[in-house]
Amino acid sequence: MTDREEKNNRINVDQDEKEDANLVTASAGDVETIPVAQQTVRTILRRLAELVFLLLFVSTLLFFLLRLTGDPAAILAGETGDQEQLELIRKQYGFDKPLYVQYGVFLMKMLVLDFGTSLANAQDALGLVFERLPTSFTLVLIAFTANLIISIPLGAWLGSRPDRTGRKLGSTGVFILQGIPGYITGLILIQVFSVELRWLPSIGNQGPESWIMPAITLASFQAPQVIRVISANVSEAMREDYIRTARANGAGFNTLLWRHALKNAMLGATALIGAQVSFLIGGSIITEVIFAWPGLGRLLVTSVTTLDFPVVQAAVFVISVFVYLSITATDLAFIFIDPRLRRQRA
Amino acid sequence: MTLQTEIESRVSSGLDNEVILSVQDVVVQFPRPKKKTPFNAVNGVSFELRKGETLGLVGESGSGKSMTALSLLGLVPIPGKIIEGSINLRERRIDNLPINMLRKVRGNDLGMVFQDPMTGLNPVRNIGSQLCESVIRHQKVSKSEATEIAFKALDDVGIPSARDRLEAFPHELSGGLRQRVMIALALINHPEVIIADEATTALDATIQAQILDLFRERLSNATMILITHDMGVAAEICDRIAVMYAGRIVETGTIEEVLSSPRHPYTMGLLSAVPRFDIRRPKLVPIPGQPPTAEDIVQGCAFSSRCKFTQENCAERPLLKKRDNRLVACWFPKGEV
Amino acid sequence: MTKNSSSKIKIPSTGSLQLDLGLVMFFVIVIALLVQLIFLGEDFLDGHLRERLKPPGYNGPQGGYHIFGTDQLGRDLFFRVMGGLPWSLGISGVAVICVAVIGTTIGLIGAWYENWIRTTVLLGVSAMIAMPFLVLALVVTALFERGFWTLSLTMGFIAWTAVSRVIYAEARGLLTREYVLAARLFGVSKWSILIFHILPGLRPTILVMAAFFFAVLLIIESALSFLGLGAPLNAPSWGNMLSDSRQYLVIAPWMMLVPAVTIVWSVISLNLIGDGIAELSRKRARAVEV
Repeated sequence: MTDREEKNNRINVDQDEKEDANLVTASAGDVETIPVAQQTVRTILRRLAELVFLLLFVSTLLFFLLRLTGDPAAILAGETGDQEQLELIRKQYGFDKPLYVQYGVFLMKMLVLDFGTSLANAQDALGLVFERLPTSFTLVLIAFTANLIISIPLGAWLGSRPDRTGRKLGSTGVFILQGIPGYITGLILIQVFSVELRWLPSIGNQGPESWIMPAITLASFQAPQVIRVISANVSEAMREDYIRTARANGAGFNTLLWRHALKNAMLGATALIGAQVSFLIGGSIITEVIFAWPGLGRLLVTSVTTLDFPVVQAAVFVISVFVYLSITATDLAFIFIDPRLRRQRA
Repeated sequence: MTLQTEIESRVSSGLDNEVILSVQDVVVQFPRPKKKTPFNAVNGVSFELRKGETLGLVGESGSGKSMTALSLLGLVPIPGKIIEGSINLRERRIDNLPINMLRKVRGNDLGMVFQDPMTGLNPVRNIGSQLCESVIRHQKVSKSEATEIAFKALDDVGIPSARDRLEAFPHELSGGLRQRVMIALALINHPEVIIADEATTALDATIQAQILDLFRERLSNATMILITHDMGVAAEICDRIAVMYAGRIVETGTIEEVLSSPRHPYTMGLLSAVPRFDIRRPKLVPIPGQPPTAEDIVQGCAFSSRCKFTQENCAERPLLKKRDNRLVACWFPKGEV
Repeated sequence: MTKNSSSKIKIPSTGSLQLDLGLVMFFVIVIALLVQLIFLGEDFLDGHLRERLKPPGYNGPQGGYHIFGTDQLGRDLFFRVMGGLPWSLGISGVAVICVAVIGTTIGLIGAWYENWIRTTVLLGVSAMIAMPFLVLALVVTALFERGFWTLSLTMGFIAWTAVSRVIYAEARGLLTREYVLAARLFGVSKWSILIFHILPGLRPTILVMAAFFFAVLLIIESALSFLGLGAPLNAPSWGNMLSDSRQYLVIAPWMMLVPAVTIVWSVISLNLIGDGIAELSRKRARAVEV
């Protein structure tokens, strides 16, 4: 190691010590905190930066992959296209220009949300995506809500009972459920409720009863994991010192669990619950294919298989924005729930 | 008032009062699934606490002093439990109460201050709500009355601008303030007995002194059990002291008697291991060896392996016997060797 | 049970029931894989059209005994599930190695540097992590020819973000330990610190993450094949088998159940292994503290 590096390291250590010293003096009285508004703005700006980064990365990746793996004009023309048609398409889409010019044009168009038209039916790509969005959104929302309503109390209940038969049976059940991929759950549901019992329709959106199985399938993608995390966090929280303090002041089991332990356990599961949205969207693709659901996921799969790239680009764009809106909403919700986030040390 | 006269006045005012808490031969046992024999964390502890007196439970870590305190509130952690003995609060037996009755005792008749103020308060709820929760549970008051009581409690323990602090969250307060909140929480329902378990151990030295001042000013007439491993702390606050070793009390007596002329070799060892400024000593003398751990099952006197006065008799366990004004569990207490 | 001194036969145990069970379940899969690689040729996968859609336990005149039944082309499902082992396990196995290597490297880089490199790594990882994994994998695999390496490498190069975030957090914790600080002050080079001080500390975490991601990638691989974008159409991948079964749910539900049970078996065994390792390392950490 050179002298300079060594010196740098020394300086780092010195700084750490200084920070420690600051902590000690700060602990003499109140701790400086930053206000809610500032915290909120900070969070939104950070998420916005991430979103821009993600959009740029994904669309650039798609742009170059499409052009590196083959001739986009040939893909557009299909198998029947002759040389003349190819030339025409190249000129029309600007494929004859150098790659960096194409990329520049592509980015400019993305800025004004122009993704071009679908290769399949010449409709506006973004319009097609927006047409399908509400159905998928509703499905994801139902599954997300159902998931939280079922998973949180169940997880809390499992976590609060140390070493009892009921808890062990429950955990084993949840563990097995976690091992069953959502698409298998969907197929089994169809087998039981549509094929054998003939209670529920297996295909398409035909009124309220056709929402049941897709929603359960989608919820099953993540529910076991949420239950397990909540239960682990609750059982950890129930061993904390503040639980003992509350017990020493006469708090009963219900107060301990619902008013003391659960809130802390929930905060530990923040990241997971925020990431839920992203998982659920992945899961909704499969769910929509299984149940022939007229949503965004199925549109994406169809466009991907037919290499309808304007629609794919538009769909990926909308999904990214959607995910980021949900994550930011979760972040903000937690700023208002968690006092430590709300008034972080400045 | 000098320390000495203060102690004397408290002792004289306390010793003849009625007995509030009486602990008889309590044994707290932990089963050990991997071994045949269970482990007794507390092994037959008895003491009485009179109104207005402060009893210090002193000993090394692992001597069973904290477990004794927890057993008073029925808070012995699972799978341990009290298998023998009785605990009486005035005339009422409280060690075998059903859980819903026990909850009425906790925080209401017995208040407890725990060691670590950093983790002892719920981090996601504000101070006020945690105080009010306890008030509303034990007293028939409205929410706003409870808030007022909580404010008074914080003010009482010397927290500046207490009204604003009701809204504060634990992480916004320093360690010393947090410990004051813990004390306020323990006192808020005016319990008959206060149990302070290493209440100053986790604090910086200066903060520790402030908290001790608080105990002296605010709780001089309270009925209190103070658990500490620090002889200095015990000397400042306690009227009487009970020295614990390996789950048993080995010596009890008034604070100045025990400190000035310890009878049990373990107490002597403890005192000579404490640094002092007031007298000149060639050096600190550590007690040789380690206290028995949960692994060792000791026959006879548990201290015999570390004691320099050990003789054949020590293979048999000495019982607490009255010597002069105090109880000592030793075959050869100092002065009689 | 193994601690019981009265039993004569000593069963080897890792100290965690979950890990034991998971390893046994995984061992069954590995043996099946070896059997498949050594003893079974291509022709075992061929079907007899006269024996289409026969239920489990069918004893046919030509193809012999079909313990799990046959599919729509009369192919024996038992052999097909076996034939799917190299596809499903191989693809997710290669992918999980990529995930572990890339995730650990990026996580360590983010933890070590305290300048713009860390900022970039953190921003990138937290942006990428939000992107639905399946969407990205779907889009990228569609562009390439369907096959073993396309699928495994695509998944490997997309899925590492979650691993790197965990490794980053763990490594930053380890970097503040006294022994690391001491090593820094003594002038130990950054590579030796990372390799000899940090990496061993991360080992349980990496193992646990690898086991869980193996399971996740197995599920994703099957999902992609199920959507028609994974393994080549005729490859006996479990996702393809599930996809085929959809049209025959009414008359041949075993076509769905056989690959479904196989997938669930593998995923549960890997989850058990992951949980078991996590439990063991927790126990060990607690033992050190006490």
